[in-house]
Amino acid sequence: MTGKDKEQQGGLTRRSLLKGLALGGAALCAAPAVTACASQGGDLASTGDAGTAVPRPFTTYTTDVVVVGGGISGMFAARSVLKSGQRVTLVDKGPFGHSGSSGINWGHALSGFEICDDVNREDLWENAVLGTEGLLDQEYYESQVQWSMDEDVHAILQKMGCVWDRKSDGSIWGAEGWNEWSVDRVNVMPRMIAQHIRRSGAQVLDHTMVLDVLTAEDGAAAGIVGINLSTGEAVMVRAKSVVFAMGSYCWVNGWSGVGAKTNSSPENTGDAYGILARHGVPLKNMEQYALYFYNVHPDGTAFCNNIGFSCYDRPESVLNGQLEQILSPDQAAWNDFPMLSTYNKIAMKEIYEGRGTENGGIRFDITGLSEPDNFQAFGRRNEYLQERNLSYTPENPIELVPTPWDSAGAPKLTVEGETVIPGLFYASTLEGVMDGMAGWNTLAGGAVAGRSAAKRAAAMAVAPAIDQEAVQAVLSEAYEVLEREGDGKRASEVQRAVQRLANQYLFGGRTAEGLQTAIDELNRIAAEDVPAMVVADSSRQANGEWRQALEVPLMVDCCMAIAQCALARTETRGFHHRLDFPDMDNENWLKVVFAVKRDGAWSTEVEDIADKHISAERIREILPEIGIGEYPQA
Amino acid sequence: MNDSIVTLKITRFDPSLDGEPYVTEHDVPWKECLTVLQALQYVNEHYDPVSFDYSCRGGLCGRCGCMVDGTPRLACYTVLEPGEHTLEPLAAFPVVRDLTVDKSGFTRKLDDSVVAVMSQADMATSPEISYELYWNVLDRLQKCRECGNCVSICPVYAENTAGYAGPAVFSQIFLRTSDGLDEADRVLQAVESGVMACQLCGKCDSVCPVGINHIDAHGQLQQKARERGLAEKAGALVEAI
Repeated sequence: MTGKDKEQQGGLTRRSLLKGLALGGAALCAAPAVTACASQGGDLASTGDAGTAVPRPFTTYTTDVVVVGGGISGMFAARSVLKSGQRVTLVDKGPFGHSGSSGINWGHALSGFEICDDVNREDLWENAVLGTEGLLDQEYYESQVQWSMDEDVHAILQKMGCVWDRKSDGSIWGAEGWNEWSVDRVNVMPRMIAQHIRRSGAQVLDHTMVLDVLTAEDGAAAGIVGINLSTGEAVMVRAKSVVFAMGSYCWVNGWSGVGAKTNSSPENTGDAYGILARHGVPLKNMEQYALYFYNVHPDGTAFCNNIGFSCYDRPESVLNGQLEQILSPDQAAWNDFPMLSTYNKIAMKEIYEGRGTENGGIRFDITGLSEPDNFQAFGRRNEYLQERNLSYTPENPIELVPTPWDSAGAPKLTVEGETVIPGLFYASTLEGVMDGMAGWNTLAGGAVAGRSAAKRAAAMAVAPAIDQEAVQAVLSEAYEVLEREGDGKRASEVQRAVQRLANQYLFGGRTAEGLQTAIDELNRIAAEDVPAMVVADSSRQANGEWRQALEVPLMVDCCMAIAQCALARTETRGFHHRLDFPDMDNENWLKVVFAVKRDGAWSTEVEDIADKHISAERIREILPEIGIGEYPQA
Repeated sequence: MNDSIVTLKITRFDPSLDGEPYVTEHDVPWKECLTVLQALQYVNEHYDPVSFDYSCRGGLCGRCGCMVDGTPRLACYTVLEPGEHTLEPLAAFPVVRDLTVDKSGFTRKLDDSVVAVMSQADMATSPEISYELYWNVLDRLQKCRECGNCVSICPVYAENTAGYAGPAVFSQIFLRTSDGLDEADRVLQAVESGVMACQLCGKCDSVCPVGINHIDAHGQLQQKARERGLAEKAGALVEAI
């Protein structure tokens, strides 16, 4: 650090802290954009118990359905609402069309149920059930399949402007149907869907982080409260239904120096999971995420979308022929492409047994991968960009490191996507990420949740009254951390601590001991670090560390839910690898695990899987028990 | 010059607090393939936090654009050599804070140009097209990152952002003339959006992270407009708006 830097770090930070406080106070009274301060205050005088001497002003928006999350799921939820004639407000943490997992993918190939015949459709069903290793909520999934049968998703996306995927001979990908791996034939371009949603009249509030769902007197969802991260302005949206489409928790995993150890987005800090946990909503399958292998060289582009994807197309390079030894010919013929979770378990076993690389990964032979394939030259095959912009040529074989790209956890849901809070709907890929059909799944899940939310809204005359005290409690906490002075740790430091903890104990191989260590440390962080943490400067304007401070408490609850579910499931299944329970146990564990936080204490509940389409009995027959221990003989 | 140090001169401005922008200097240890984003994260971890936007770290999401030594670049895919470098907010955009800019006006222009296919035809099918057209034209055009690098370097956009929609919009319009699906008069739309004022200087091509050939696209639109006699009035139109 230079002398100049030291001066800036001490002097400037302190100065701006003081300046920020002064101006913040003035803005409170003067800002013309603030409409809710006097006109809609409700019984603000009684908010003393939230610790606020002065009520925090907020801007109020009213709508029929508020959708939180601007990715493909949220956008298709919004589309359903707009198509029903209801009004929709979409709140996005990042820049709309560019945020979250959809933004980092910048186009996703789509596999769908509607473009294959009945026989192949049954194969797809089996593929989904096997790919999720039996955990799929088949009842809920069926409503998504039905939606995509009723609407031609491919036509909708082409109409929105997305160009269908072509093979190198110019023909359309997937024109031959399901037998041709990847029934992909269209690029799902979030920017084009976003343009469509805005043109269709949605009210979009982007750069806005939702901190809580608001409930009415009867406990039903009545809106959301959040902070505009560009201006620091508080925002309240009053609505008849709420849809959460806030994506994964992947950003809680580790830190590479450039980003978290995931290809996912900085928006994906698991905010929805944290909020739902705080409302006592049971969270299921939190132990399940989906991992891929990503290259970490050069380290400036570590974990971004890259050539690692291609390792799934040629398992012989990574798995050394083990797949063929483990699977019977019937099992191997599920697909030309091994199930992601199976593939990953075999590859991860190499790492767990000490045959991994120095960064805890695998090596992958990239010879012959230079021809453009369905990972396009200017899409996700990053060696083109590395060559072009960084003058970097990857070593062969390249080192690939496992890291999560999506999470499968979700609140307990009805078949129509409603949580246990009436009027609060949830949209995401859910456990569908485990089989890799995330593009279709997230889109259909969003559409189903949006449709249900719109139906509920249409039956209501007016949005329920919101709880002013709850709004003030949330805002008070949000602004207090920005204004706090003291010796507490910096919010960025606390966020890194949670990420390190998650990386060490919650991802990859898990043990009871490690999970308990994580739980104890998370409890300590929540009790000691969070209440005292400070932000470098108190400006409300695009203050990145303030955002981290808002994320941390939600990340802590999210990680607790992961740890609780992972501790309860005493077997290895899907992407949940227990080093102390290395085998898969179909006899006892074709079950889903729920983690619930009630009155500050966590507990877990176990339920049988929803096996409406393919029975648990049938799953036991066809799902090979491949764990990370001794392999069964094929 | 110390060949193991990168000195970043970052233009800082918090409009809610500061009277005017100022520059801070920070030393970052150099290493091979050090990216701007990596250096910015280093500054945030070690010194006074800088406000900037980013997401994918892989040249995809288009969010981390800033002026690197005066040229618009994506921070995630730009390498720094040892020595001094300036980082400024992307030109042609209002500053939110430091390197974070507001792209809503630019986004509005993209929305208004309607990337959706305007046609009464059944969208359940799509024509077979050549490999060359798909991979090198359509796929790049649809994968435009909406990063804003092109408009921030465009000399015409800097003079007239009202009558001139800018390279990203022209190329989005060109996409719709290229796949044989759209039935609207996109050439007229391009002329109405100011494409005739494009000087075909090629600066946008030099900073496009997707390798879109804007010049070819704009040139083709201009040529088609001239063939239809639309070009004559176009200059006056841009002036008038």
